[in-house]
Amino acid sequence: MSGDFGSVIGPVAPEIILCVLGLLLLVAGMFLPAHRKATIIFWTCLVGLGTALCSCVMVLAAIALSPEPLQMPNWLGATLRVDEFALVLKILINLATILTILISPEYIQHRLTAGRSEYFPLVVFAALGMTLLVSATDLITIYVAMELTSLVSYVLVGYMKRDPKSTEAGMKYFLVGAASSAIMLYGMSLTYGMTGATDLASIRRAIAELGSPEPMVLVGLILMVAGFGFKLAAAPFHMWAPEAYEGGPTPIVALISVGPKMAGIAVLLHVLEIGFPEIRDHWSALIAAIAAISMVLGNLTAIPQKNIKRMLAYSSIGQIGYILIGVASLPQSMNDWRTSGIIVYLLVYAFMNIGAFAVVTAVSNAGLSDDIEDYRGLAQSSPLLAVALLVFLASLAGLPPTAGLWGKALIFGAAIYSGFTWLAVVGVACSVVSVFYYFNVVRVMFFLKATTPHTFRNTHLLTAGIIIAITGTLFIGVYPEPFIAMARVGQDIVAAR
Amino acid sequence: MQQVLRNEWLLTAIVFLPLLGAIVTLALPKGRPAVVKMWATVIAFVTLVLCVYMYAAFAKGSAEMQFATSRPWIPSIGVSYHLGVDGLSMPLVALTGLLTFVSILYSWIINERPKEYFAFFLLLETGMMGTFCALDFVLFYVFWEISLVPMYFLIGIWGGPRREYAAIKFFLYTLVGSVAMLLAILALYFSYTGPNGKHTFDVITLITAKPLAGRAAMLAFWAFYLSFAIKMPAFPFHTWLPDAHVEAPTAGSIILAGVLLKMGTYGLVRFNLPLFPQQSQECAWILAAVGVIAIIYGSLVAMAQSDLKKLVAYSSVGHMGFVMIGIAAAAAPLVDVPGVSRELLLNAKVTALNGATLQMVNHGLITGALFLLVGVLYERAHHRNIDGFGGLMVKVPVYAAILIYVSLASLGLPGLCGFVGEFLALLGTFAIFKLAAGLSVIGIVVTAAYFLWMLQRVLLGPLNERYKDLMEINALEKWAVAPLLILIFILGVYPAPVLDPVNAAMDHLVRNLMLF
Repeated sequence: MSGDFGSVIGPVAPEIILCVLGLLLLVAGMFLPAHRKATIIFWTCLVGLGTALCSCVMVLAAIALSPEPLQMPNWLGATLRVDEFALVLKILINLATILTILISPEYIQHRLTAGRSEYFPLVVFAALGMTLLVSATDLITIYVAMELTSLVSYVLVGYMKRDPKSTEAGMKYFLVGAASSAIMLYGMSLTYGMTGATDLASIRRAIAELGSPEPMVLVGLILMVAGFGFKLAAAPFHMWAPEAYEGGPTPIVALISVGPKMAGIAVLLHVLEIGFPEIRDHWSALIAAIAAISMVLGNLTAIPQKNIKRMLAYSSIGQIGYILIGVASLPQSMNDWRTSGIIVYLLVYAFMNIGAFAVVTAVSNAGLSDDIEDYRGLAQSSPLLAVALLVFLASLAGLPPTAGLWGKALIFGAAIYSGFTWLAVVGVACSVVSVFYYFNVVRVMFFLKATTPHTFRNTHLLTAGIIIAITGTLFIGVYPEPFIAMARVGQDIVAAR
Repeated sequence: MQQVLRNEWLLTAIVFLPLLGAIVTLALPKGRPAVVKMWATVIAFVTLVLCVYMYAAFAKGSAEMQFATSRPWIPSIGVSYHLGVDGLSMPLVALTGLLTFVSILYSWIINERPKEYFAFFLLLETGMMGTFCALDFVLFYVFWEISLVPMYFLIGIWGGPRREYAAIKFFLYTLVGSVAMLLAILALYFSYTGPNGKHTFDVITLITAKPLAGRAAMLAFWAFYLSFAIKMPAFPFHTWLPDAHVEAPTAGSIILAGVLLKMGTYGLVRFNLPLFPQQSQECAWILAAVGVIAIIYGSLVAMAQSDLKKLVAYSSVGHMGFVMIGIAAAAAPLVDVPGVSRELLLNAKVTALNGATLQMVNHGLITGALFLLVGVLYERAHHRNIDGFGGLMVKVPVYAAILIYVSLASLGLPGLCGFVGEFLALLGTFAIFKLAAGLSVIGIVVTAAYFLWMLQRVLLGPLNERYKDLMEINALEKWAVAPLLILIFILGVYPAPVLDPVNAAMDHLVRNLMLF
């Protein structure tokens, strides 16, 4: 074992911080006095997540500035890959978790009768699972991290015990999720059987030695991709999403609509690029097909939805389709559009999708339902919320001057560069369709008059969350340069394998 | 040659002053609509003054990009903030400044949610100005889309009974075209690698390089065409236009017809012709056919309308057809005709394109005035049914005189500006596409017919008793329409102020097109 303690602790500091934070909050919940508990746990959680975020930034800076590649002991280095790509995604995951925490307190106060103090540590454990996942390069680690994320998500989605919809959503999410884990595990065992290894680098070497691709290797990969597809809510593995989104607590839905997608995309890229680059043609076509099905199905089924959370569920199935175009595309040697497209898209997606759910949270805190019909005249009764939702929806649709444009433009550019022009055409066609249902909400908010006046009195925290999300969406929209440049760091994912 | 002025900040000010005005508008106190209206008017007026300065300082004989400014914006993917105007875009920028000012002046009658209304209107101006000034494809795309959303809201909130349908139809139609254009832009981007090994979105660089060839170029040509044809709107993509026009508030219609339609024809001249000269030559006959169909079909459909606003809307389809045949004539391959020198044919092409560009400006002035006049009548009568009026001339002689004046300008009476553009476009086209020019004349006759028939039904005959108390056009409306009336006359007898800069740019463009 390496004597240098720092080289072991340093790279995994974010995970350690999150793990300690989660345990601390769990224990603190039992001992703190009831009347102060909520405040203390909330702020500890926020500060802890902030620390984790800072540690990610520091590790990223250390790696980017140091001339030599990161040295990690073998037992750690073979299972976790702490590179710039993973760290950027860890920053995004922590950011998404912080936004989720910001929009939570009032909602859980309204909706939860018990278990309020366990809510925050569970969210932290979800974040821990996702941060581990983006670094995992060993099938076992991938599986464990994924199960950690998933188990916490099942519990959180079904957290409103008195609400039958929430319970049903949690149950359905759990059953489908468990089945998908089994499928993924079967794929992993096939891969292990064919290659004799669980870490991705060895798998790659074994496949290269096999020469022509074995059908069983392909079957294993397809099953694993199917498993990841469930976590990403990519069609045709999306069946759980609409129910889970509709029934789950809105802030949690905001988190699971964004976080697992980041982690899932990172895992997918790691597995495909590090483990299976020899059969790129096969998986590229497979991912392209999943992308196309997701975009078409998600965007078309979103149109008739009457419930905004359901509509956003289908929209997020469409959104993951766009991101998967990036996964299917070829990396470029210089000025890579693909990796920067994926990262920028995920960053933008975190702001706009959590932002949209934050507005949904605010509206439901005011006693209105999640039916789109209840958003009538929101522009008059709460201009801030209406304008915020307009910005987020415009961004989801990819309209300038919001950030959504750049995510889409980079991804479609990568597709055209890679010869996937048909995917880009499907993509832009779907964005046009998406305007129809996104702007249906805008129509209801701005064109119609409210039937009954409502007062919106939201806490500063929720407002802060919304304003951070708007600022992010508009700032990246107007000046995306630093983010695109930053996202380039991930392009060595192929070169350095 | 005149000194080409290099005032780097002028265009930035023209583009972003309205945006600044829009943001401040939202911060103004809620219960004081007069403050909001005054503020918006002042901003629009200052922008107009800047446009007038730009016109005065513009070196009219030069084909170069003037007032150009270029800064890196997103250098990591080769996007720059590059603005500039030449003889093609300068008149359109000035037209936008004028029509926005006129529209905002007329919009003083708006009392429902005035803050949002004027904020959207100023945002719209930023989008339109940026579209005409942008010399970077991404910047162009951004402004092109920005002009879309405010118009969606203007139609959807302040429009007529079917406003929601019209608003989303307008939005989706235009969006289909623009995303196709986005793909073509990306294809262009990756097909060209600069000397430093980097790709670029710069319009001038890409026009000079013309990187696409073969089937890809043909696809990109049609993708750009789709985007611009929908915006124009050219047959068969014109079906959003009557809905949008009829439902839009008056000021929205003025901008829609006066400026937004020009974005389509501007795009064809700015991008399709110089980027794809080969493909333009091959497809010129299709463009000519589309233009002729628009002229004849648009005029005939206009004739059949009973709604005054729809009539004006369909007259736009016809008038934009003249722009289209002018562009088609300029794009057509240079075929040697015995007894005619190449130089003569080249000049004919320049004439056709001059006519087309002049027609864009003229149509903006005339149709802007027409929609304003229709709005004036609608405010008083609350309907627009042509047959529901009659004999109004007795009650409102001043309004009637103005309506007759503008209608005559629209049907192409010599001495008013509508004639000049159509005449030049036809003159140039006749040398290239004789049949198309000949058929287009049918459209002119029909246009004259439906305008005169409309005037007859609305203004002449026995007075409809319901309107015996009809109010005359008021001072605000007179002031709003007056600048348009004056320019319609001036450009009708002396078009040189617009024609000179246009000619310089078009001459340059056509010669490059034929010598590529």
